[in-house]
Amino acid sequence: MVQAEEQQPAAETPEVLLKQMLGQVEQYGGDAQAIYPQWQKLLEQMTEALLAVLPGVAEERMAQVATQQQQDAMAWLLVRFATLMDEFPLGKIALNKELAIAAYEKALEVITQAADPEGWALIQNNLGNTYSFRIRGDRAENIEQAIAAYQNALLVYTQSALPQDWAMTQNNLGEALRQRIRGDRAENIELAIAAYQNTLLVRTQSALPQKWAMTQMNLGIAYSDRIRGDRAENIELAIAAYQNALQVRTQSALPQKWSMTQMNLGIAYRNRIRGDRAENIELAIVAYQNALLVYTQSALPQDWAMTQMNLGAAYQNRIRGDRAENIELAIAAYQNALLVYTQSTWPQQWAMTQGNLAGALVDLSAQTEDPSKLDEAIDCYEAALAVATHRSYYSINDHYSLGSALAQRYEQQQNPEDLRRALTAYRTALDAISPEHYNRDRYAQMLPQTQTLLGSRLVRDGQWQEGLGLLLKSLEQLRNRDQSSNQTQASSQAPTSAQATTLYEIGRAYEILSDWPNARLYYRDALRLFEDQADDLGTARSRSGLGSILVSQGFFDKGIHHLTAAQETFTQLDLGEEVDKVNKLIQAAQAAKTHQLAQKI
Amino acid sequence: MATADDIFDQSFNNLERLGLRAIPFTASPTNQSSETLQQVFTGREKDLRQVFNQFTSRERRRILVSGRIGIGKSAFLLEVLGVLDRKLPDLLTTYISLPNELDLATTALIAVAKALPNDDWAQQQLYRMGIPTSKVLKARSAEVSGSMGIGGKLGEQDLPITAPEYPAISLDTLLERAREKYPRGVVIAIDDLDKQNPSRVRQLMHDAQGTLKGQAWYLLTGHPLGMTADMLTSERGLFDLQLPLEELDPPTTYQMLINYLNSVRINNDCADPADPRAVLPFTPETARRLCEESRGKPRLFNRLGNAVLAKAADLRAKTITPDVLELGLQASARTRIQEAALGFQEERLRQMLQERGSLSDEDITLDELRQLGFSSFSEVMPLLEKLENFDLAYQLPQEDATTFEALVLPPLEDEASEA
Ligand SMILES: Nc1ncnc2c1ncn2[C@@H]1O[C@H](COP(=O)(O)OP(=O)(O)O)[C@@H](O)[C@H]1O
Ligand SMILES: [Mg+2]
Repeated sequence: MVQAEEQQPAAETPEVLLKQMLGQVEQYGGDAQAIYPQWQKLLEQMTEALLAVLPGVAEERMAQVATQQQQDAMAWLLVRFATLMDEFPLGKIALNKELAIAAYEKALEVITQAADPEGWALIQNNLGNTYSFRIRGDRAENIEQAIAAYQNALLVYTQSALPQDWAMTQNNLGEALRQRIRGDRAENIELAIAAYQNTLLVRTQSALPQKWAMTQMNLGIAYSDRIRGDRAENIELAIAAYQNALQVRTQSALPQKWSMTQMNLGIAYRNRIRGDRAENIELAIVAYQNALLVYTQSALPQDWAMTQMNLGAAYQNRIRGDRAENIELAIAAYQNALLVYTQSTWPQQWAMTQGNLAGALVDLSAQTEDPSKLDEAIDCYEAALAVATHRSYYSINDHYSLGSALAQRYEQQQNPEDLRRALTAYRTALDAISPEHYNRDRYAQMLPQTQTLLGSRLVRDGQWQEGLGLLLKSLEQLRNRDQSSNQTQASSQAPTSAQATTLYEIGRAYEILSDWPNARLYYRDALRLFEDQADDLGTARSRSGLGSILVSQGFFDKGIHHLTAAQETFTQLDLGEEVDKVNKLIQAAQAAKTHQLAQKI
Repeated sequence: MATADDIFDQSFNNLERLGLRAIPFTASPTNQSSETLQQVFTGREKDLRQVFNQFTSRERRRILVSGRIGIGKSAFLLEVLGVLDRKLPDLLTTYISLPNELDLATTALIAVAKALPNDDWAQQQLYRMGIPTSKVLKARSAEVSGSMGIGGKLGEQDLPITAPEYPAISLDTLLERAREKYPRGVVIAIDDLDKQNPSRVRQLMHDAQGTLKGQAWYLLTGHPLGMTADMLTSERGLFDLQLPLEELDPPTTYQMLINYLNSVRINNDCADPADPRAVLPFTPETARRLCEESRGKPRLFNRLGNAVLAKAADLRAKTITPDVLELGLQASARTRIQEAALGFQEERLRQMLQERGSLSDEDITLDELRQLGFSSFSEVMPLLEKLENFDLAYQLPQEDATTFEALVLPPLEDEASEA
């Protein structure tokens, strides 16, 4: 341990310590270079107790001074303390933020809007920043506080009177609005964009290039998050903004900022709708690789890992080049990211990367027809899900993907346990997803589809109660979904083929259960929908089921009619096995009919 | 101005004018005393014979009475139980309507326990399930709404019953105890399985195979669809007798009308169908028309009869002329539609059925289904069943298709005729 050279007396109490720190601020005039080393020595003593005594100490010192001027000086001392504390990178960051807020609040008791509008606005702006990055408390609430503070500042900072300050606070306000949790997200992003554009009215590239570039970057992010307007257009706007920023943020002048902007640019290219998709992905890869020139594992491990993640995703989606090779590159990038994102240090990022890696493994398994990769992928998803925050975007996504990986494995290995697990995974995803989520429809579709698959499988395996139950449940879900999509799309949309398939499977289940009336009913329902969708195979299968029921019930002519139609279609479709099956049924029916006639005579 | 008392007297006077003490028709047999039921119950000779034949054996038997709603299953069951009570005093008969959410073993346990009010152990079983026992019943008589006769109805009460952990074992014990007083055994009649969803019924039966094959006689009633083929084949031997009840033929229906009227007629007990007095205040013509309109369906018959007599009384008629009958039938149609409180889709379906006469899974088109807001017939089934429930439609006994026919309603005249 480094011994204190200046022999500073060890602080006895938090009051003494706080007074000492204020003294240092006073002594060095708010010079961070000078003060932070001093504070570093006090790190161990900087505890929660400081926060408790701060108001008391501030009031005590206020009481000791007589004039308004002295009071103001005292308040500004608190402001400097707060600003330094807010940016102090050591100790407990969460506590530092609290100390800053407490100090600003105290200062604001003296520096009022009426007495010193500009000073008041400055403090409000700073307070907004501190709330924006506050760690304690409810994040949504903190952002509200930040917005309120920025809006206070803007009461004084007007474009005409104080254009620079106005622009700065507009930029800050834009950031807070972009991150806002409460209110309508689409609306918030619009407001953020408006705020950035306000900023850019004052900040020009020629006058304030760096600040201009920063706001361009923020604007780019807001456009890429934008909900309203045309998504393709928004991404174009985002790309333009990032490219603006890069005019100033060059690799040589501002390497880190350049990298950050490159990374955002890469993301925008990957999401780009206009232009050639293959080319866009190439552009994204170039941008990420640029970013990695500065973001190295040793210097900036976190940024490096994040960029590796993005690079992996770009390779996974790459269209050019050899597909298997691209997937291998993606896997390598994800594995790089996992060198930094370990489960213990960055559990969320680790889980996210595991999820991505799993997705790549699923792709690789499909590409190489190596089933062991699918097993690995399933393990990855499960590992990721063990850590992922419940109901988070990634957790929902991973549950969905896990479901689909399991369903895929079921197709290969026919183990119904996989389907069962897939169903649980889909159900979990669907339960967690919010009704407005754009992926909800897709998820909502997988659940009944898997349920149908599992249901018919269980029926065939003899677990007919459970199987039929699942089938009926899927049908209900499909009907509800089709009904609600009918309402939203206004056009009387045809029910999906999923519904026809489920109806058919229910018919089959009832047939296996020898419940002729229901089997008949559901086969006819399936038949109607398949015919409507001009699905020949479905139509033929429904007819074959219906025909065999009618024959079993002794309605030979009706039965044979459907069986013959099915036989014709199966023949056209060149399904030898099905043709044979139906032929046998027809023969049996004809024999039974002749027999019946003979008995009557 | 007439006082309420006056109006009350008038109502009775109006009925008396028709030569009746009361309106004998009711929609449910549980509203009738067993004497009344004995008096009005008509026909079903073949079915009764089959059931009673089972009772000539000492072996326990399981009987399933099936048929569509309103065909007379409950009445048949109660009639059978009444006869058994009278003829076989050493046999204990119990009746219960299947409560929602309960398994058959627990249901049977409740039925038997309720029929043994002096058996402390039985009462304890009930008490544990939170069912008022005779003792508790006395203690809080203020809260109990009477009519908790033998195996009183549990159906609509929705008591939060906590099923015992081992109902089958408790039931066995109870049957053992009952044997002391009733050496011939116990009949457990479980009614209203037809009001449950068929797949639930199937599950219930599946789960209760052990119980059903146990020590008691069982009489169950169910919907024909609930008793699907698999019940009778894969669970072969679950029932010794399956009795599908069908519509009554016209002469029996005519006789039924006579019996109902006789149960309330003042100074006239003529029961000879050849004698026109037997159907008074109907004329033979309107009596036949009523029977025709009810299509041999006892519940519909009761509904129509009820509406016609009420209308006749209203109109202070002495005889039910064709005009009076017509007005009565119309009033019944209106009431049924009102009682059904049809939703938008249901009403659309009713109208389509009305226009087309019948709807069937065999020939309904996707367009028609879409007009109804559906895409499959199986989806329409619950609605059709609801219409059937209110006697606005009925399913044909057809095996190669599921067909519902409209119960043709007399054209509704302007609403003013109501007033
Ligand atoms: N054979 C019968 N003779 C006289 N009344 C009958 C007969 N069958 C049914 N009913 C009456 O018809 C009505 C409906 O019959 P119910 O037994 O409730 O039908 P279900 O139980 O099949 O729905 C009841 O009021 C019942 O008393
Ligand atoms: Mg009944």
